Amino acid sequence: MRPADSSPSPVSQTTAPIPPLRYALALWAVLFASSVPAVYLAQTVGGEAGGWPAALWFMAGSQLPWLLATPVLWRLCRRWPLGMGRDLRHGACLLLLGAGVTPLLSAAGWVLGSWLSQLHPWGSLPDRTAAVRAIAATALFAAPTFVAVIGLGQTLAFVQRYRRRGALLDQARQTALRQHLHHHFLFNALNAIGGLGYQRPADADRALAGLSDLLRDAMACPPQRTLAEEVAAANDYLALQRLLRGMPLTVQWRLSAEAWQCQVPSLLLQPLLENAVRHSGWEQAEAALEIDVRADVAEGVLRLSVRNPHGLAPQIPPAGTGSGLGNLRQRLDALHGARGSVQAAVEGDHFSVRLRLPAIDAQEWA
Amino acid sequence: MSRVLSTLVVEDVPLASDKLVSLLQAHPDLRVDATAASVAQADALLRSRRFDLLLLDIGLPDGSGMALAGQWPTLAAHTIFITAHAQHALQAYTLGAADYLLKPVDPDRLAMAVARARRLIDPSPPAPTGERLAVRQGQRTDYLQADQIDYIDMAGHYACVHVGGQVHLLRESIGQLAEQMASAGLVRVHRSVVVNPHRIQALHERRNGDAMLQLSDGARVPVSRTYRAALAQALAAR
Repeated sequence: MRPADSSPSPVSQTTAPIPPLRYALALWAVLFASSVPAVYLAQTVGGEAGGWPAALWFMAGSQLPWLLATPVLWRLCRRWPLGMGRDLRHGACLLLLGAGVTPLLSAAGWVLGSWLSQLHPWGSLPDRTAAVRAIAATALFAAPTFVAVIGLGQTLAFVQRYRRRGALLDQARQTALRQHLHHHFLFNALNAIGGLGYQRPADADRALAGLSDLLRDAMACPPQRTLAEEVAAANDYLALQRLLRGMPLTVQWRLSAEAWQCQVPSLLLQPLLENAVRHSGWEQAEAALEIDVRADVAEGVLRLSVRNPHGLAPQIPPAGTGSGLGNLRQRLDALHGARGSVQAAVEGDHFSVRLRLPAIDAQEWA
Repeated sequence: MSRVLSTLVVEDVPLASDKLVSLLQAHPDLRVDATAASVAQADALLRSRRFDLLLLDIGLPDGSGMALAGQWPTLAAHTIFITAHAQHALQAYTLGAADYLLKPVDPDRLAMAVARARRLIDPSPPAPTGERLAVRQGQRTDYLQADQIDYIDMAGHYACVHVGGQVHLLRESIGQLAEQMASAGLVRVHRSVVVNPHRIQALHERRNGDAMLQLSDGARVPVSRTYRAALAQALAAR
């Protein structure tokens, strides 16, 4: 049999990236189409006759640097997203960028436009003060353009994140299913259930029902649900582990009232509990394995931790290895950006994973 | 002891039918009097005599169990549906079914369903009373004092008992818990919520007589108008 734990394909391959160049061309085509008549009309009002061709060439020249810079600006929008935490810092970065880039692009555009339209051929450049005045005016007029470009960039970045979320949930679901379905879990479970059938038929029956509940949930759960529902699903998993491993497994659920009703991504707890059970180093005839799960809300942040005794060789799994932890990190990043985090640590003879994510109250009167 | 329920099991797969019959043997308060493997057989049996309880598979070889239940509307409250798919649940409850179980059937869940059906059929059960609640988790059992309980709500198929920030998950129906804890002063305020009246800090009115309760630990739970009278009584008595 082929090893079943081949790591899931990276998300970037499962979502088609939005082609930024196409959007940039569309944006500038619209701006070009509206600004050429504007420049023409302004010229005739000012009495400085250049005619249609001059207006056309001038705008083409002055917008070319902007068009070329747009994909770069949009990439920066992805790096400094707004509404995903650290808004102050990202906003400041964007403002500074604007203060630098707008005059630069405007100046380049003005020079290029003037040269193309032959308004001021190389030989007869206007005197320096007039040029500086004209460039300053163009730069100030271009401030709204910068805002529009960044606005569209942020929108595109948001859409991209939104698509990524769906892909990541699918991936989490696939991972959960794969974990249930690959021979480590499913076939061992079925085998153990067969064994139970000889010893304790009623327990074998319970285990079958538990296994079906888990598979059903992994196939059909919504992208987000309350922590309460997530805890219930995780408890199904623990009940099955208890039955199949004959493991005296107890969990302390210390969950504040606020946390209980918070919205969390589905299948958030299960990989953490799976790690806790698998890496606990628990052996038959030992004392009960105690797992401690805590959640509370402080200053709008839901803090969740899973703590368990670790085995002989405690190891923090490297990030992004297709382990439950790596996938969790990616999902929280796509959902909440800088506002979500996953930290794993060894604390003495315990291993703990701490999650932070924005506290979103799921109750309708919130 | 209340009367023994005469039960009909409708299930086309013999192994599944046998399993149900053997699971039901653990319940001395009911007796499987007949089994049917098709809609036609079940219909004939239902015409020939009276049954108190019906365990009904939905996917049958000659039709749907749901359609059969539709033809016997008076039996709805006496019917427990058993199927592999969750998608018929809404339709089943619209018909007024006692319960809806998913395959493979879990013995504990079946026991809950039978208890629920019994309450619907005989509305005066011998209410078990308790000042203490036992919660089993693997080999360990926690005993919760009734007056320490803040509230109980539902998540998945668990009743979640909240005691000072700790949550205990219990595989039992909230109706049964409400009855069991009534003598200890806990009161049911919603289809899926039981509260300790001593923990109630504020009541916020909402639409149509519904309300929201704020509890001392910060929890907010819904109150539905059906339970307002019971709540008022409990608040007056505390």
